[in-house]
Amino acid sequence: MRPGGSILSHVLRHLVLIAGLVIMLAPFVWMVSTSLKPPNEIFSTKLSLLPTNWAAVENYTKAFTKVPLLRYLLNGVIVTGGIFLLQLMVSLPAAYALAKLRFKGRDILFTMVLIGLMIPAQAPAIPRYVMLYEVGLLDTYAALILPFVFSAFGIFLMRQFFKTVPDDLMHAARIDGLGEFEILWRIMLPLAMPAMLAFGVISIVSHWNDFFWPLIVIQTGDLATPPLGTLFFRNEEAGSDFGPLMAGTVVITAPLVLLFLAAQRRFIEGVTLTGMKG
Amino acid sequence: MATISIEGVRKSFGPVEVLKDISLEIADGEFLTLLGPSGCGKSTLLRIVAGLERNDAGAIAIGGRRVDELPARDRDIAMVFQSYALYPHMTVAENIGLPLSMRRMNVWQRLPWLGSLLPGTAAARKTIARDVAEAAQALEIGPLLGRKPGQLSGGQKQRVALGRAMVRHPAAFLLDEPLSNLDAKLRVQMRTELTELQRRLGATMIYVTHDQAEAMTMSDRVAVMLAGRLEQVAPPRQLYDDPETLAVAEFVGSPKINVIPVESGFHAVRPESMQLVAPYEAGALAGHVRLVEHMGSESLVHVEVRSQGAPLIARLDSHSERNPQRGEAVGLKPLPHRVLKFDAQGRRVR
Repeated sequence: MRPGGSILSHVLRHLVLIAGLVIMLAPFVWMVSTSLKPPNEIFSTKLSLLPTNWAAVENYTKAFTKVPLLRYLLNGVIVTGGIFLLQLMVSLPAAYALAKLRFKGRDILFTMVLIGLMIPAQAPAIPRYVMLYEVGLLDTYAALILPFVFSAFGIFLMRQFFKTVPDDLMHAARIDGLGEFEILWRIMLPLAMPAMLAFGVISIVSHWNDFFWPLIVIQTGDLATPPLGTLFFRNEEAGSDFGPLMAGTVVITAPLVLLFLAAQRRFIEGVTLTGMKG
Repeated sequence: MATISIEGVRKSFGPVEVLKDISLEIADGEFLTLLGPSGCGKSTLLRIVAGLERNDAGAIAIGGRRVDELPARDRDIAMVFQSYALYPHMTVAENIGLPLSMRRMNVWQRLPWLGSLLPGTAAARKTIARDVAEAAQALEIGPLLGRKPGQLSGGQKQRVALGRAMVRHPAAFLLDEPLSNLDAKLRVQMRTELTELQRRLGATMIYVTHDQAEAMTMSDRVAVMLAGRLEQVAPPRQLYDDPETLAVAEFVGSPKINVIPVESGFHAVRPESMQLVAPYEAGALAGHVRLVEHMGSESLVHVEVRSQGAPLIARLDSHSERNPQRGEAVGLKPLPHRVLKFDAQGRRVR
């Protein structure tokens, strides 16, 4: 399908896209704008994006000093990084087995993965909480990481990718002397980079932004993830100091935006699963 | 190099029996071709010899050693795939070197970075690089060693796949339609090169193809496989001149052999053994010319004969004096000593 030739349809198409862009971007722009303003301008009735009196330095200094924002960011990195690494260690072998090995019960296992895909994270929250309580892991990093190590989505995504790798490649590898784990590590893993990157972005973004689970299992402020950190922020500041709060949220959002921008091209490759071309 | 012996091998996929009691002995240094239409089970047989599929019954021995229970890597065979199956993320040198590094280096030495620190790694890498360069030189792909498979043409990929098979001097080579992804001209060229390579290495080769030109030109012996059975195993010439069954006679040879139903079964006559004669000569089949195909060195004359379903074909030399026209009434008379006789079940009657 070639794009329609008429100028009118071009203009219309771009108008629709621009409208969508404005709706999507407005809250972020407002967040950045608010983080630069002093309190009196935030509550002013006048609509203006740029402040007349800049309060950026005050707001950002406050954000970093009132609460341990860097600590929250570090927690976020530890938790999302830990989750993603462990997810890979589980998903890659599982997905390889489900995609490429023949064994009894494989289809049932895969159906279970698909069912797992449909269960919302909130549904097993209480049993998980109880289990963590029983083993005494509440209020630790482990409580933030362990429940997400098994990722139905990760297994599904990687399996779909492995399915596209020709069987002959594994056959050749077996004849060349590679065992199954070495096929996974030396052949499949390098080929699966785009899919892994896509999964990485999705996994890291969702766990970085997760508010529900950390709120349940974390009491100690030192273990708070970034979104939970902003909650502590609000409590301490009685919810009126929006400038620093927005400065904090800008700092928390920025790493994700940077991550996505860096991985954008390969991320889209991975999601569309076009990585494998002999 | 080694002999390969296949004895009573059977294989089913679910209810479908794809290999029905296959037995075959391949001599040391022999070039044996498994020839058959797609779906006849020839690739499955090759995969069973390679150890990529398990046989349900029967035995495989390579160099006198039973290998049924061994995984592919311990059978000391190399395989070349139709799709070449090169590792897309590795360079040509890494592709060819991988089977060597799997054998000459241990798990720790193969690790990235860390491996380089271990004793023996550097020496092993050196011998591998030397052997890779040697194989690359034999196949004239030396300048390509640093490239990735994605940057190679079909013919170059083919050579890399051969290099990966050759480099560790296996007991036998298994080739699964290795030329079918190449264009016609390159295929003919590779046919010769592959035969020469096989002679030079003195290698035992099992070569799977559906292309009878490849089978006839390259092989010491051809095993014709139809519907999961070996119909006949013979040198190419014998297969063509002296087929055991009607099915083999019909499968081998282009254009197809003329089959004439008779009371006792069938008579089959190759087009070059069909004489074009006057329409009412005694003993001739009368008909008229439906089509003449001029091939340059020869002409194929398709003759519609009333008693026959499909037209019969006669092959004429280009310097033949006859020049039949479409619609002309002609007679066809087989050379009597070149008629192959089969019974009603399609078995040869001598």
